[in-house]
Amino acid sequence: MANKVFVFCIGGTGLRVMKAITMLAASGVKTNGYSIVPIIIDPHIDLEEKTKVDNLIHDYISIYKYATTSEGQQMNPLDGFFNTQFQRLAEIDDEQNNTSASMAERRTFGEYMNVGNLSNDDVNNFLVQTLFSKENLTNSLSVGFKGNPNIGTVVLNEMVNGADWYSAFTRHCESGDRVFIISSIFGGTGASGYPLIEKKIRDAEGFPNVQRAIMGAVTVLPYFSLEDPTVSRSDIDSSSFFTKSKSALSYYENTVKSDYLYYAGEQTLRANYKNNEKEQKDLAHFVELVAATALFDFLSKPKPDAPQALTRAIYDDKVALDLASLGAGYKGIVKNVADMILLDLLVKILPEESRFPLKKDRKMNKDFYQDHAFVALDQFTKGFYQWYKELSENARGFTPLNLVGPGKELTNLVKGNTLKGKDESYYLLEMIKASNKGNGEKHDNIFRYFLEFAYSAINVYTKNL
Amino acid sequence: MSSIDINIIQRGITNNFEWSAEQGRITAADLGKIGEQRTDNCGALNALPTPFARFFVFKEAFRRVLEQKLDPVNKPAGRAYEHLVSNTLDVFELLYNLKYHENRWKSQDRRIVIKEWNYADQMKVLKNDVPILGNAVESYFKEDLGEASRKLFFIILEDKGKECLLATSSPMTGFITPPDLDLKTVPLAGRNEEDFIGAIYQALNITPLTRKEGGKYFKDILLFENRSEDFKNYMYNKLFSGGATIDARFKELRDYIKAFDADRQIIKNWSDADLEQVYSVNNTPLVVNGIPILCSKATDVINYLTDDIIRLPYKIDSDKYVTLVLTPDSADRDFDYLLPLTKEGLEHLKAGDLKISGTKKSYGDVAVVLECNGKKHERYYTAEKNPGAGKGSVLDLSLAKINFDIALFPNVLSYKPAENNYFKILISATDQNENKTFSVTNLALDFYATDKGGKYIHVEEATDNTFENGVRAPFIRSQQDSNNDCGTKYYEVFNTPFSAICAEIYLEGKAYPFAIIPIWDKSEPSEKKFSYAIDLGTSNTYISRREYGKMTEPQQLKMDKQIVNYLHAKEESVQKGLISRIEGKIPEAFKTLVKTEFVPALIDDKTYRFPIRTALCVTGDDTRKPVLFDNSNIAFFYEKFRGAGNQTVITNIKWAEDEKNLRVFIREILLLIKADILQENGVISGTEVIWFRPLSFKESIRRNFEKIWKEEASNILNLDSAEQQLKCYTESEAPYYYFATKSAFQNVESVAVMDIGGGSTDIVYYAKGEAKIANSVHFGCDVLWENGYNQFVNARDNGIFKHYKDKIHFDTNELKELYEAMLKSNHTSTRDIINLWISNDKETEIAKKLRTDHISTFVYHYTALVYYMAAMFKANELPYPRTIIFSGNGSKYIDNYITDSKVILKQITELIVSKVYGAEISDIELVLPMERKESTCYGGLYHRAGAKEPKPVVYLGDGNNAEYKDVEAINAAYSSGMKNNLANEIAAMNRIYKEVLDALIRQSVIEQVDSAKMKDVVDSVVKDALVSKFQTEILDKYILQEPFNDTLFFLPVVEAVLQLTGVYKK
Repeated sequence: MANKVFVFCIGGTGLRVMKAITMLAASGVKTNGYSIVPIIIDPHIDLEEKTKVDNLIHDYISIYKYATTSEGQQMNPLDGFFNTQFQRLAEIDDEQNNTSASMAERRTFGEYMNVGNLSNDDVNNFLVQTLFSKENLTNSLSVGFKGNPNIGTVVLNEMVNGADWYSAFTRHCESGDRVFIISSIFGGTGASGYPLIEKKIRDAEGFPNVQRAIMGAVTVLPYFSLEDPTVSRSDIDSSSFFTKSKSALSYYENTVKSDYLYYAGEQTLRANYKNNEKEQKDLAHFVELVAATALFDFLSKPKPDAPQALTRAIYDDKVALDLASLGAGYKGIVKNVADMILLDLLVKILPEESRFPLKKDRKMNKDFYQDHAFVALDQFTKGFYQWYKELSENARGFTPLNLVGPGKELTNLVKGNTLKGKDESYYLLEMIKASNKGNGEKHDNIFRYFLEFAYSAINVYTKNL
Repeated sequence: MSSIDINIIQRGITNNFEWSAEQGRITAADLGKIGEQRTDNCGALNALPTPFARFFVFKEAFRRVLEQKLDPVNKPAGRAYEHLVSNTLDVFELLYNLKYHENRWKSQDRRIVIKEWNYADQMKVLKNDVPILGNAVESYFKEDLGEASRKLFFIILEDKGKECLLATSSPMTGFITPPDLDLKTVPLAGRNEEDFIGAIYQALNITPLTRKEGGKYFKDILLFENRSEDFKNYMYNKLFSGGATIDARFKELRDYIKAFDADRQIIKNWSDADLEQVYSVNNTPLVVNGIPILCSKATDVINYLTDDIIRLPYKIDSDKYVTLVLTPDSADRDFDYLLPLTKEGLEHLKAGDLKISGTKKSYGDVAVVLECNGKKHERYYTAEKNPGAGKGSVLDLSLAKINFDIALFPNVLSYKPAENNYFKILISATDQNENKTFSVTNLALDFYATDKGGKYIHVEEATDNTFENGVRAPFIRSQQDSNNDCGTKYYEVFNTPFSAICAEIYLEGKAYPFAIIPIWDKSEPSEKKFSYAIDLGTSNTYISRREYGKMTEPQQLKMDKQIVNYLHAKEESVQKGLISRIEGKIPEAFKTLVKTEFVPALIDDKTYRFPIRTALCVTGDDTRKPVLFDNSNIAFFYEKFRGAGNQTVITNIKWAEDEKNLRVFIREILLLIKADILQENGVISGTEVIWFRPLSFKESIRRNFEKIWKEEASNILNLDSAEQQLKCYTESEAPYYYFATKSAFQNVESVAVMDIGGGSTDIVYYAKGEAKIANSVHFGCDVLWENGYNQFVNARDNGIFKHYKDKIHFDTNELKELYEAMLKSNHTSTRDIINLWISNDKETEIAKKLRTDHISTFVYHYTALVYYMAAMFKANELPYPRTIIFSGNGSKYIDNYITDSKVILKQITELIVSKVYGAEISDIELVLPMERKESTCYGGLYHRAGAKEPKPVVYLGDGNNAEYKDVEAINAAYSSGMKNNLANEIAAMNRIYKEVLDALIRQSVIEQVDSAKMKDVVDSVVKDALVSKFQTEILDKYILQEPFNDTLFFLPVVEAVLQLTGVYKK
């Protein structure tokens, strides 16, 4: 059984980074053998994005299962696409509740704490007034903590205390397992969750595996601004993001103690989002992608002698980043993203490719293309394509690829590079070659073959990026 | 190409653009590199993942503000952080000045309470009652606040019994304030203003917590450098002098305070022995993180100047009130500032030891300097909406579209304290905004007297009749509404000469205090004594004055000096009279009410002059409890201009059953007299007051008059001897003494004085200077303008009224409005309206009309009176009078509407008297003096000492002088011959009337009149009138056992006069 990394995704930024992690994992970025156990912590009841990320993970797990199961037998992970196993905490421990469900709160913060229980002359009322504003107490928790991590800390503290899912985590965290916490520093939920989860883990008496687990965290620093709250009537004012980050960083200096602390943020806020706490349908952002890479970096590193804080840079401070401006360290990411975009292309064209030999040889026929597995993959790659498109269109933009539609030339797919696979036929031919080689394990999982051949074919042209 | 870190700071990561730990963790030292924006939004400052985030935020605030101090250009902290630092300093300062504040708050029911929170005890409560919070506190308390901080202190403002948390102790910054005390920007009336986030602190907007040096705690940002020298030294030298020994958690606060090492006000060897420990309610010393919190024992530091100054849209009368001496000043300045003195300041001033000046600055700002007790107190007031720390604000009433004025009556103090027993203060206030929030109710006055040492002493409110002096609760007389452009309120201070007023305007929930210091006129001791004669007539009231021992021609009371002090300045004009200069500057919205409700600023004998109409102005519908100025006052304006919509004018004062209106009228007259005496430096208590009564007064009415005059005169004038100084003569006898003194007639052998008033006529017969008999009848000149026996006020039967009501036109708008209102009013009689025409003859030319169209009516009236007089004398066996003096205003119709030819009048008078006496008489001298009515009160002043009173006689009109015990006896006689005798007398008189008409026709005084027809008219009513009116006017109105002192003669005459008014050329 592979070791696990429990990835705590806290708040909206946690979700976004988890999405990027899932996309990167699907594209073939490796986790050094760790299976990922995402734990999404967000008290937003109505957040559509949470549902989408949840569905995305669900689709990933489905695809992974389709690709690693044959006649009921578990197979080895793939080498390319979808090579990392994702596990739900619920699958590991049947007894625990869904983390999100247990955190669904429609009450106000004051009701949640039951401050009404304090008698009028109780001196503790003054303590409450010292710590929280009246508005804090009357805000509904259903939309998060509205940039108030001091509230989030109290709520999450309670949500974690004695929660089934947290208990499951402690019980199933085994020797060699790791913990990774994703949060933003400038918001409400994420900012409050990171030190809390870390503290809980470090204080998890009776669970040495938990206490000793190598812990990493990525703290996402401000990277976008919001439209003027006086226009949007939101409670969140992004002009304070830097201020919040600054005071939080000051606090972190003496409190957080992760083995690896990754920072990701922007020095100048270029992206401007709508100020809608309920929706948060904001475009995927490069910083989220960078934050996602932190997990893979973390999993590649041994336990350090002393806590480390890590940052990465880009080669050239451009608004639209290609491989050259990103810098050499991003080659792997660009390759994986390009691979996935090419896979999407193949998934799009192959069902229409009537003369494709593998249709007969490998039964990649109409039935295959209509089967759940391929449909799920089709769905996933479409999502990936959309995600990349968002990354490329945001500011700053992650745009190392020239996206082209079916039938178009692919030589210039990766900006600044010339791929030898001039068009789709080159890749189809390589798939046929891979099929013909037949070096791999023998099984009857057509879907697995498809992913293997596709990766093999694509890798022929992208491996030298 | 430029590489950049994907981070919020640039630290130059390389490592081939992989993840790199080369720069390590972001430390506090790196934070300065973060390109942070200014932080003006308090909501941004709770970004820490701990329930105790607030404590860290304050710590961060001190770090940021220190950075700003060291590098203000590149490290602006922003208002949010500045506010937090200011708040913490406010808590230290509030506690440092705790004694001082609590002294000031005594009257406001405010105090600071310090409560304790002990970790061990309170965690049990939290875990039990609010376990979620309890768990969170338990998880973070120790790590965030430290083991040593297991006790927190709450600094609580107890405001009128309500507790309001101001601060909590903090091991990092000493104190932190609750998030609801943070500020937010709110749009208010198109402006952005800062307000407390929490509704619980709204009360601090209304009554702010004012710093000793000015400005508002927790609202006005005041950083350390701008605080008082004492406080700075206390913080620098006392609390944070320990340097390294100070707990490290205080680092940011300590570093901030110690950064003021070079501050010129920091005194290195500063020590203040007058400091003491602050304790909690549990008597625990307030010690925060090892630092004991102290407070200054000094309570004697006075806050002399108010937080705000009020700018009036007019100049204050600097002759009558202490004003700010403004520099630079200009002659055309049209505004002024009210004195920005606090109550507390006033109480520490000595009267006279006050020098206050203002320097005008740009944009409407003003810098005020108060010099007192050898010290200067300064404050800068700015017109800016959000004044900077330490500055006061200017409330510009002109911009606020509100205004008020104040008037004091009397404005003169007697050198004898006991005589300063009554002051009335009028406040008028208006709000010209569409949505009105200001009225007289928003203006409150507190009065201060001075003790012997000149110290200001608060004058208490007299809450019940046990108070022998004090201030009566103010009375709102008028409210601003559709009728009135302003409201009015009256204060009354009795038996206390006051020296200052501390006032407050409440506007939009905030109090704006100010002071008013009147400059009183002062009477000087002298031996001068005055006699005042007051002839309170049915229609008009006359007052004349005479200085003892001086034989000067008397005249109606007039004044050279003002007796009312208005706050507004007089108009600067050398051409206008004083009253015009005063009234001309009354703000327009106040003019109507001020001029109708209050006493005139002076009786100048032009705008205001005696005689005045005997009329009261009453506000509101309930006239049952008239109180001078609170709801009633003399209607000086009556028949001059229209009053306010909420006023009515009562004219039936003298003869009314209810004496209350009379008392109010007399009271105001006496107060005017008192003010006049003081202005003339007279001896108030030595004043002689003479009043008059008609002969026809019923005994009960006479007693009432006596009682009222005695009580009011004694009370207001403090008479030495009411019995000797208060005199009453009959209205009829008085003129004789005046004319006799004046030697206005030749023959003194037999003189008749006929005093024709509005409601009655009095006749006195003198023989050789001695009054013999006196007779009074309830028949005056008003019957000419009234409606016979129709008693309804709004009766409109009078022919003269009907003749002219649509033909009379006024030119001036004021009179036009007044006339239209009187025509519509159900409370206005035909008499009132015709008197208005007569009073304004220049516009109406009514005299000419009456003389042309209605002379027959006046002739009949005259004939009846002269006939009656002669018949009465004859019945009393007296020779006909050789001299007949006409007095009383009512007699003016004789020369005004019949003829001004004394020859013709003499002829017709002799014709009538001859007919009565049955002899040819041609030696009667008529005296129709100019001072027709004035002669009564003038005569009072020259009444001969020891003169014998005439014998009152009753003449029923039937030709004999039989006396009847009561109405019952008269009734018996009436049915057994008296009626016929009366009819005969009337018939004889009517015949003479025709002869008089014929004589006047012959003299061309009358034209186009058929005397026979006129005789038919007057004859026609006699028969019925003698029956029906005897019943309705005598038997129905008197009880049978009541004595009857009037006459029956005029029963048909009244009716005949009414009929005659309707005979004119249509």
